[in-house]
Amino acid sequence: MTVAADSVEEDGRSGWLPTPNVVRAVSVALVTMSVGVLGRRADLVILVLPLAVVAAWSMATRPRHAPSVRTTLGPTALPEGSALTFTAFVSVPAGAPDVAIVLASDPFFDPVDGTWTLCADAGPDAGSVTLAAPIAARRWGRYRTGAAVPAVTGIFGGFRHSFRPIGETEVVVLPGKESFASRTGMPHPRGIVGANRSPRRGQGNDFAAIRPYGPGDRLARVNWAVSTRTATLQVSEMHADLDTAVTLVVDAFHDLGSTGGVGGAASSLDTAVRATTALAEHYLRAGERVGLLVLGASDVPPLTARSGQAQLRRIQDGLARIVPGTVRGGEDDATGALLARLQPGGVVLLLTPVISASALNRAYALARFGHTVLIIDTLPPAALTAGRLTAEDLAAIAPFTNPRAIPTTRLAWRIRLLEREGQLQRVRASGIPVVPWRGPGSLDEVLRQLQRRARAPRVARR
Amino acid sequence: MSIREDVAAALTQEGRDHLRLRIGLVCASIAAAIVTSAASGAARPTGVGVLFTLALLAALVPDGHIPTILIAGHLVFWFMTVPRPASAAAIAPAVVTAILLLAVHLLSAAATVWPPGGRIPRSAARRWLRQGGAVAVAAVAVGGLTALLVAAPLPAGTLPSLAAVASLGAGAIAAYRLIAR
Repeated sequence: MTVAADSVEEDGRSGWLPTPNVVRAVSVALVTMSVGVLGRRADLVILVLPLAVVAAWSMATRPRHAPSVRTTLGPTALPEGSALTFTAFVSVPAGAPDVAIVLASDPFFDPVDGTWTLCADAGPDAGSVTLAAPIAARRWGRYRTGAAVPAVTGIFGGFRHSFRPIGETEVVVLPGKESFASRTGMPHPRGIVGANRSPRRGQGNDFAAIRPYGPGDRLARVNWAVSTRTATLQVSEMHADLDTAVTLVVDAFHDLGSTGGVGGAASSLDTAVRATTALAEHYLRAGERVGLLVLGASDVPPLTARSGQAQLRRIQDGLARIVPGTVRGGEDDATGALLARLQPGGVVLLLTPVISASALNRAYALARFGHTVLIIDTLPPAALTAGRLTAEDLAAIAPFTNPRAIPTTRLAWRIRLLEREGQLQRVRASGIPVVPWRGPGSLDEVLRQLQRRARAPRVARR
Repeated sequence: MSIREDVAAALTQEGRDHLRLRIGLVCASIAAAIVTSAASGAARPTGVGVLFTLALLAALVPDGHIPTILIAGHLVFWFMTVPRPASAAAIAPAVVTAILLLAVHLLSAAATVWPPGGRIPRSAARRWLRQGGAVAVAAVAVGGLTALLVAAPLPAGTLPSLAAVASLGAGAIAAYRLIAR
């Protein structure tokens, strides 16, 4: 677990500045007492006597030394939905009992205690206090958070020591997993070892056929029951177990729909990122090699297909870097070049809201080059009914500034949905299956169909 | 979002403890205005209304100059409406008002010490109450002494007045040096 630390230590009594409270008490008391004495009004002197006492008390107990603050924020990498802790260790001199720290709020972080303000009583004597605030991370991504302003105040709030603000710390919130499970294998196992049944015979576990014993066959494969019946030595032949290169392609050209973090509304990119994590975990656990490509977002390095749990962490880290719609021309070309280098026969799962023509063109190109492409539709179901969208939901899809533009925007979105339906029909007609993401079992049926299609003979372009 | 929801959200962000401080400030200010009005012997709706408005503003912005203007307003209201105390009993309203003005000052000070949204530690609240109570007791004691003096007035003279003004001047210089250091 990595924890970021910061410390603020300032020396000198000059750091203690009078607050408006002590200035008010002194000025009001002196002026009124003067008027009272000159005007022989004892009642006026009595009126402001408590303020004079408060001012005198504040000044008499003015702290003589500077306080110090040391803060930590950690862990700096955590899954969404879990909490990180901001901790401040404050050393205060005598006469500075009131300690307060205000943390900068962040839309995708929630203080577990419900407040961004931490208060503590250090007591009248010198000492130290520890303030801790658990903060829940609600959405995946990279954030700069943890900025805070500490303040220590003297008796009756007369003098205050303000520190320089505590800086932000970069926190990586890894995407959480949507639940996903699939009982279907992959259509084109091509690797060396894995859990998918290969069309070829080999040293796997799935029974294929019984044939006469030949040179090189292992004795353990001899089927004694059949050999006894047929009077010739027979062996059980098995299918080979192979792995597949699964490439997860995330369309980050657009992020449509409102996002509420874990447990809240999910935008198209939220669904895509969480689904990608779930798919990666599932297929890595099944022994496949999994890679990641992100379209439309810069600063996300492409990951070539590898196996192992470390790859899951790499994929999560890559997904957490996504900032939608930040791609520049050159980088998009680089992604295109990497897509072109994918080994034919691999499985490409494209997670897209099917809004960007660029992403669909990639899908067509990949299918033409012999990849098994499957499009997973991540558009939020609520966005499909343009007529029922609230103004906030509509703004999250197509931002507008003037409320009078709502009917026009709603109409434009309805037309865009019709265009999208046409695009989806063309994609399906070209042989690329499209399935909406619905969690566990989303891909089972379509993968089964792809397996059947892979076993069938077909014409290859030479 | 409607105005009512905006206000509700703003109040929720302020925190329960901060709301208590601000409500207490307004209540103390209203009570001080009522006591002053009663001590003056006549209803003073205009003065009470102005002070009530100032109290609301001070509760909204306790960390500005408005609390100072509010306390100054109370003092001017007292000076303009309440006659010079002629008997020992006439000192009692002054003592009560002094304690209420102390409450106004301390509540606005506490509202600036503890940021909105935070929970004020119970031990700190008790300490503020204890120390404020000690100041209030001192005010009552001095009020009692003053009542005795009013009951048996000392002969007026230039020397005591000059001594009082000189001590106030010395106090002002000492306060300035302590604050500016």
